[in-house]
Amino acid sequence: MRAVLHVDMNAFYCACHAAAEPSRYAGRPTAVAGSPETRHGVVVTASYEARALGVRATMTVAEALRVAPQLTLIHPDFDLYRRISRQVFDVVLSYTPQVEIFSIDECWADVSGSGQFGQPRAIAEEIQQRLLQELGIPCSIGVSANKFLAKMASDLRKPLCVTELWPDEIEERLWPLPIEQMFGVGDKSAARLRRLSIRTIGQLAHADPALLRRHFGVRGERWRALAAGLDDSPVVAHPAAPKSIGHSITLSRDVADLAALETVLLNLSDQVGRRLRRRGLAGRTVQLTIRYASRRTVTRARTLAERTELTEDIYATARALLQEHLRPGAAVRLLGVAIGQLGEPGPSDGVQLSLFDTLEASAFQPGGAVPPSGARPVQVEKLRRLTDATDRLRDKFGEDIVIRGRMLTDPESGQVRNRRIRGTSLQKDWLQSSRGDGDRRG
Amino acid sequence: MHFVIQQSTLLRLLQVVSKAVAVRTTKPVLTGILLTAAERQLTATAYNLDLGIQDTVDADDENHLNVFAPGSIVLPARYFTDVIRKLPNADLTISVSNNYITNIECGSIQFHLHGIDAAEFPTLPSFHPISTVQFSSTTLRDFIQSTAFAVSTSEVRPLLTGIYVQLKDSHITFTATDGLRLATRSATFENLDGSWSAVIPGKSMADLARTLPDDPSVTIPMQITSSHCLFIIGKTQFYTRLLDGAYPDTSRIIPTTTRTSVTVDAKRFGDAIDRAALIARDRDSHMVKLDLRSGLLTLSSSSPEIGNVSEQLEVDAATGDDIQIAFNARYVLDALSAFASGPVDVRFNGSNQPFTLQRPDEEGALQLISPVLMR
Repeated sequence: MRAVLHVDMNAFYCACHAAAEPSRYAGRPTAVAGSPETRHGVVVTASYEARALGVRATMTVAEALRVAPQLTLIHPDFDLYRRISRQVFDVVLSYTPQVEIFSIDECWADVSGSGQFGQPRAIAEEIQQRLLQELGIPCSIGVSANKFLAKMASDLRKPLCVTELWPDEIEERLWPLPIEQMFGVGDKSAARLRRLSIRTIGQLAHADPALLRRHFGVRGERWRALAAGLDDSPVVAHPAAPKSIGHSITLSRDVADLAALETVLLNLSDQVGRRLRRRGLAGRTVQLTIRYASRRTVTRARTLAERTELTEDIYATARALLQEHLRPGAAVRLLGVAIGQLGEPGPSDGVQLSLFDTLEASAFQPGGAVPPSGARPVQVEKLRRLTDATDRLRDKFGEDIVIRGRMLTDPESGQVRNRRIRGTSLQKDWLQSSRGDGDRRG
Repeated sequence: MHFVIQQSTLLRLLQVVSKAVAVRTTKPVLTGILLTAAERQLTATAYNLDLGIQDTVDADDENHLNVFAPGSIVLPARYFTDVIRKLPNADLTISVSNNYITNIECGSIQFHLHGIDAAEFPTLPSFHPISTVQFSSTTLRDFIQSTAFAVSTSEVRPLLTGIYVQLKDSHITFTATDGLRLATRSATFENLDGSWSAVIPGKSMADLARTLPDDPSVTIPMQITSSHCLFIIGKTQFYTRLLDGAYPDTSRIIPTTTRTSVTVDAKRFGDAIDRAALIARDRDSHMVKLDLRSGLLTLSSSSPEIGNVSEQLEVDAATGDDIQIAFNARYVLDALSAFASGPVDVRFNGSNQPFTLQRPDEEGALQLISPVLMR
């Protein structure tokens, strides 16, 4: 039988701050939240002390302060979280190379072949102790025969617990749980399952396969197998290539001015390009997301003649999309740029040359347009070399060490370069640098 | 308005103007056809603000046109044309009653269509031409057909969706390019003074080419103003808006030197490229390779998944350096379509420079194609 651990950090962001500055934050009701001025004012994580007072994630800052006036609010510091997260995963990695990072604060570890460190439970307890003593980070660990049961086990008891949940125990300990607690079943699906009189995980395990198939397709069948404790999905140490890479930003105030929005696009495109190149990828489809003040959201995409990894191409395409599709005078609340159809950089085929070189004015000149199709090999080669040089400088001395002047004209969207305050728990490409995949810092 | 007309005459009239009916528009009146009945004549007009076509029939014994009461009405193009198409070829009576309801009668068949007030229909541009050129119908068609395919289909650079028409030193030149290939056709016209240039939407020109009669003796006057262009084909008037802006200077990209020259039969060259392109058709660049070594011409293409093809071709003459070059097969096939059959000169300046196709005996037609850089 396999042995899989699910390591789940407890109130991770708050714990990081408590570990970094114990005198200020340890043992206190704290909450990590963005600032209301920039419309990011919701609680992202609350410490267990704050949870005891009724503070919950997704509350607005105002609501949280109403239920717990003594609450200490902390601005997010994703640099700190990523640094500690890498240290956490390095500890786990010292017991097995089979570690699948699920998010900034969760991972699975396959310890089937880690017998020299002891039984699975003993390894889990040792990891938990080391994380707490060496890093000051509390975690819950689930121990079982597969990823699903390990995940369910770590959720059973929190914080700071090691919980085993083996297949022969599921009837007693898993099946009575309400369907809402099942990993992989979202709120909407849980409500639909309830309408089919499936209220517990046990009822899901015994549900009619045809019924599940009819209502949920293959997903339903997979849930039924999971509920029965069957999950043969492997712990994947190296993540699959992403389908797209993107950035978006909610503006602190609604903006209708095209030039200002273009500056935002430039800042976003710059970071999309940086992440794309960091992964050693290039993409062919640029997608622009516009959310208006009315919350109406439109996405528009354009496919290029060939894959590109250059910020200049991403920006020129996003800008053309914005110019074509922005409703004149309409105020914009959020802008996003993403690139998809990812693959190896450089065209696999030949490159169609253009008749004009000056005709395709640079994207950074006023009135510059998207090249009709790739096709400026000499300039592109120069841009590639320039990009490579600036990327290396930025890796070494920080994102802001060399940027275009226009990017500085809007400090707000320039925050997209500030990895300290920007981040999501699921953005994993900065967590793996210590393992050196596709990292040029080498 | 009240008149009688033969079904086939009216249908032909509607079909001529239908190309200029607006498809996507916020103004419903532009999706209609304006019918105007005057004494002994009936006029149909469609105008989508870019392209306008107006055609007129005069009463004669064959078309049975008889106008009892002059007047005008706008009718929804799609419904009106379909109704007329499905009526038997007999005399139709069309009359407009109150509230623009139009009555179409043919024997015991009776349609009522809701029309729109003719006053809402936009007026066609008025013409005080700064210049008029008299084309022979077949020459104009040839000029359009040997250039229109090269216009850009992308709206990214709107000017490149048009054909650049230039008069200079009694010389008329049509030029079209999408930035990757360029097609040009020119000729000297007698008694033509002055100089001007205009960019005419390529799509309008392609529509025009299809309506031009296949008769060299028919003369087509082309009139130009600063904003519009008018072609007169018998009783049909074909208006098109001009595109605004400065067309790029294409003269400097046409090579003046030749490092390699080869003369081939256009038909056999085209057939060979067409075959080679079969292997390349699923790839974006439709890349076909041409290899000229010691006067031996080879066309080839390969695709890792599909397979490969190679063909040796007889050449009439070859001079200059050996060359290996790759290109988009579609561009060369388009260019060859401008020459029909007979010998064609292909001139190269190295594998990363544009190459030209030209008839040996004809200076006025030149096709320029930028190659694909092989990896």
